[in-house]
Amino acid sequence: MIRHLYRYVVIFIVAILFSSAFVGAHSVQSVDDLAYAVAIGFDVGETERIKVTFQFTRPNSSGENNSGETAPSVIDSVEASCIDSAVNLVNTFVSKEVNLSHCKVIVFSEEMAKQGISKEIYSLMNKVEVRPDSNIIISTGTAEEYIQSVKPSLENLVAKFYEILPRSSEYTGYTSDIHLIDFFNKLESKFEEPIAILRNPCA
Amino acid sequence: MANKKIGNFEAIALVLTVMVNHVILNLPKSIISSSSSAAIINVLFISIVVLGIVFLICKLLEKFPNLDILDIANFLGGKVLKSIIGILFLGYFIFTVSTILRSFSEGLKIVFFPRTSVATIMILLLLAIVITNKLGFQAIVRSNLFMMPIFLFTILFIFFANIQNFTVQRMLPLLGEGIYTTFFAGLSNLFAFSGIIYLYLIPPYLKDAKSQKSISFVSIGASAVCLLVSVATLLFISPNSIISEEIFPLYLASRNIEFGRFFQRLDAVFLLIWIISITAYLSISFSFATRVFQKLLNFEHAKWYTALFTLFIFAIAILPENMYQINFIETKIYPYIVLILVFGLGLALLVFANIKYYLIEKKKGAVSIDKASI
Repeated sequence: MIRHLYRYVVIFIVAILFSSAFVGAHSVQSVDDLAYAVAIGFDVGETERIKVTFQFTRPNSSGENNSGETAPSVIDSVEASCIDSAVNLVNTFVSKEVNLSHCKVIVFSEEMAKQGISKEIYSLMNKVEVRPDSNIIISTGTAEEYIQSVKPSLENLVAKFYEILPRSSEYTGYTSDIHLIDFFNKLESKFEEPIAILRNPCA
Repeated sequence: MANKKIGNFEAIALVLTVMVNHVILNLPKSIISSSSSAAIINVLFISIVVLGIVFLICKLLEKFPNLDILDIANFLGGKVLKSIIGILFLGYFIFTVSTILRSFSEGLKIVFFPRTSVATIMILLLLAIVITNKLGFQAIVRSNLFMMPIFLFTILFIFFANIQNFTVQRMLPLLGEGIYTTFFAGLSNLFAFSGIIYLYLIPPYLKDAKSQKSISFVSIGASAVCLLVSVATLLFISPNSIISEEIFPLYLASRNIEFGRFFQRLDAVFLLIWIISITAYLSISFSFATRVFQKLLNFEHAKWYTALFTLFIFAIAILPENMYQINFIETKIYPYIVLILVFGLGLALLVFANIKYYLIEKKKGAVSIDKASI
């Protein structure tokens, strides 16, 4: 009898412990709760150090659009002292939590690039969400202008456009497929200089 | 004991699992931080040194077939020395399991489960450890052997898949910060081969006691290759500054792998495999902790106190307040514990036991030391 009781007590404890793993289930985030940024732009700020522009895709926008029109995206800009502050600021006014795990391109304005972007590159490299294969683009105008000007005519999804565009370097010699990790490695290197993709927002 | 014996491959996988899991956590980071560009030379150097030490251990263990270090301590200094050594080894296993449990759980939280508490992740891993220990030592060792090729494959795959991203010039200057740092100060990196501790404890579990030497050399040799490959991957792929910041440096390397547009973000698969790997390692260390405890107090069954051990390990694992403290324990305290216990105390004990053996042999003629005579 005592042996059976012991078994039931063990099963009960194990069940309690297992269920503790799901205690936080009510706060689990689904895809609908996140705002995925596909592009981030960095400009020199007017009131703060930097102006960060986020381009978000609307969930299910690919399914809604069968007419061949480009799926709409949302662009928001904030001024902050660093990327983390900017993400926090955006989180305060958008209804979803900003997630950078699907960020395809990181755009810097030419003016900002001339001032130095190593701080931002370090911050981005240290963020687990940001993929090391995101492309680095330098815009001849402002980064915000470039992001707003991206309206792909042959592509419905702006995220796919960002992914495919740098790969044109495989069949043209006019550009290069520069990833964040390559840029950072060259920035840290003693025998190489970092290079990025140059883009004109008006083109 | 007969049904608890393990084969040669199982024993090799058991020793190798220590290296594989420390490589997954932050062993290459520690080596690259201390040796910078000379990390590869340093690994080659300490590998040669450690193979010499393994040869010495095998020679010293020859006179004590089927005996583990606790039996040898009993032979050398009676029950008092056996208790001291047993407590030290028990402390080592509890410390290792607690530290790795906390470190890995923190890493998992940062990478994948930012909203889950560390305690929840640790409890799930501890549950897996308790369940595997309930299944028995052989079940743990066999499942570890079954998964070992996959664990090794992930490390080799990360190396070969990243070759295109390598900057080989990062190994220049070859001697890093100088000969002293690479070879003399670099000797402290011997702690990487903490798997040697199992060589002291597995003899009673081996089916074939004669194969102890080959098991030792193959397992430590394979560990050296594994360490070399992972250190080379990280050294060639990223600058030192970013490696020292990363939670799981090898995870950083896996994030760079992509095959065209179809196969991307393979890092999630690697992390899943590594969760299994860490669980296997923690289960093995936990099993040895309970075995040492059992041997110390001459208990027949290990069932009732495994739960107490689990609670104890959980309590120790939640002691560090933040990642800084965990990193401090892993990089500043753990290496010295390994160096003192495995390479200092363990070797000294074997040397003195051999001296005592020869003195007895000289006094009484040839003697055979086995369990019956202790």
